[in-house]
Amino acid sequence: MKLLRLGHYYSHHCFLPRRRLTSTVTSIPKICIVGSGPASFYTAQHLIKTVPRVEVDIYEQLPVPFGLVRFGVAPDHPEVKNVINTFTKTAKSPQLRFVGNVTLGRDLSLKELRNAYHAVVLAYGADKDRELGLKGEQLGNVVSARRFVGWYNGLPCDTDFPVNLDVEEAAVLGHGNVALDVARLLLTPIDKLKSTDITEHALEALSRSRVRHVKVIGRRGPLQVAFTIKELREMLNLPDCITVCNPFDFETVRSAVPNLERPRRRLTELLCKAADLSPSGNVDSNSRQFHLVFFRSPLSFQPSPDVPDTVGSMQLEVNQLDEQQHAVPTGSTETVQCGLVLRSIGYRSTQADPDVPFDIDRGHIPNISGVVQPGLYVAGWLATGPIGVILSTMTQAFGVGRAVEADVSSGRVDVSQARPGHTAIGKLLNDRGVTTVSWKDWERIDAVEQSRDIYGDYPNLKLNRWVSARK
Amino acid sequence: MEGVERPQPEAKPLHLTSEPVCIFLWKESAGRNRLGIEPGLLQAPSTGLQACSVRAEVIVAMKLHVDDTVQSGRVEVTFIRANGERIKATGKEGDSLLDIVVNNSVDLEGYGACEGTLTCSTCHLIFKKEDFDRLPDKPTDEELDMLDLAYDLTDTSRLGCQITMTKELSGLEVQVPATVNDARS
Repeated sequence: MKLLRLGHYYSHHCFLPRRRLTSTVTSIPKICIVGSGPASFYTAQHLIKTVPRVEVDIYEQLPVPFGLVRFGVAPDHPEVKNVINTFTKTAKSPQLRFVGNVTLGRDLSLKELRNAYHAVVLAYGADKDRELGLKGEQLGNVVSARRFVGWYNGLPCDTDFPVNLDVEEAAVLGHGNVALDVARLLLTPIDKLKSTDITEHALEALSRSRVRHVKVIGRRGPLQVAFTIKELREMLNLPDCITVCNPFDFETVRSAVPNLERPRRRLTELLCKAADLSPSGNVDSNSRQFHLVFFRSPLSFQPSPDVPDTVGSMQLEVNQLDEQQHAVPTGSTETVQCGLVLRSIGYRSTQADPDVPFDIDRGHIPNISGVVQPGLYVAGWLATGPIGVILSTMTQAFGVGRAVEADVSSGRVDVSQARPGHTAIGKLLNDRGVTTVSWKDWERIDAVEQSRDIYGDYPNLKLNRWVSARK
Repeated sequence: MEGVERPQPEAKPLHLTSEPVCIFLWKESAGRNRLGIEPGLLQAPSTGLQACSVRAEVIVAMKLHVDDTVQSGRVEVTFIRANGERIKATGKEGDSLLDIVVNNSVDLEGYGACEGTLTCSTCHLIFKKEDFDRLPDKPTDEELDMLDLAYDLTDTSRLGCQITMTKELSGLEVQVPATVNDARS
């Protein structure tokens, strides 16, 4: 048994000096998590519940916690953010320490974390998005939907996001929930947004917006949409907004409906209903319109003749599906007028630190149920790719928690020897002049946000400049 | 004092929570008090405190449970976890199954993440067909939309936050679905 364990140590380049191995836990297990979104908090919750005496430290790049729950969920979906209550409960555990304003790769390295802790969980999600790599993509007003979301949600780096809403025609590329979120924000009557925690600058810009028609464009058909039924239903029920579909796109869809599993079937039935209700003939161009466009991929962007260096139109190619339901070009092309293009073709993770075993092609960290190797784990979108709602992240994170616990209790992660944990890392950060944010600091920021209760029912207008709040 | 005979309120047992506040009961007519409650029936099951005689002003450290139906029935539910473990929990009529999980601290990790606002599917439960069929409220589109995202969806699935307990449903046994990870481990 002992021999096997020593072999294990050599093969995994453990940095522990060789000591007599014991089978009893004689020290406090110390685990750190990089990132503070749902994946992080659900992993922490499970660890605190199942690993005796564990201390969990969460390192977050921003001064505030919660990741996409705070910065990704649309302002008109406040109930989705109720999970914050669960996370706050976890954060208040004496076994959890929150350390904000620390960036992996810049303020500290993965090596340093692995030395200081018995186990490291990477859960820093996806903070970039995929680009198309097309001609004209650098034109003004061809922008990332992810950054548009950050702009209306108060992410500091997106506060001065250069988006111009003084155009009538907008296009969103992608058929996921983020695409519908941005389309909905562009088409929702401004009064409905006033009572949300949307940022001031976004509310002001949207109130002056001239955007009337939003085309949500995807390269495949109605049976391949990635958005979910709740978000689609909201679009169809938008006040003073007409949904426009091309019935031609639905020709082979209806016959497939009876054979679908219930979730896909209900979604497709709702899409078919939207197509049935879609106006044939001319629609009043002054009305707000939500166009669902299928079987189109962008080819290039052309500048506007009126506004220099800004998009004015887009070339699209027409697709059809092959036997594997992949999009293949037919050879036909179209031109679409649009003064604003939002690219929503998927978020993308980054490597953060040279020692992070990142797969550039796949865009995430290869793992088996969250395990990279004993002692190194990955949770959330960084593990699975940027798909799924909070339920899937929660389930995956609990799985990571179980894997860590199994490694600790089996000895694959040796906690018999003390590790310095935050004692070492805190000193390191201090020496490097990094100002960290504690949970108490976050509570002070939160209190300031909550007190700006200008609109009565909806507190929590987010501060996107935190320095003054923390003082 | 002689007066017009007033209809006597029917004596009903009051179910009280365990949170103590002070209330005053005093004698208006023999055997009854202003609230029309038989003192012997005024008790808090959890603390065991009982009202004293009505012959004197009584200070009872109880909190009256204000309920339309003074006679709130207790209801019982059994949650059966994926590994077969059975967890009994109680609540009162009008509680949702989410309320019962929360109030009994039933150990279901991640249950009820959105706190009953129909924006997640973590309170997903699977019913026996005969129970599913006799649930009084059929699911709305909003519930079905979220249920569609649940793991291990069945034809007898519902969201626990949408199921309100009644006396008739007491004794219900519900299956807590295995998550994808549970099924693998």
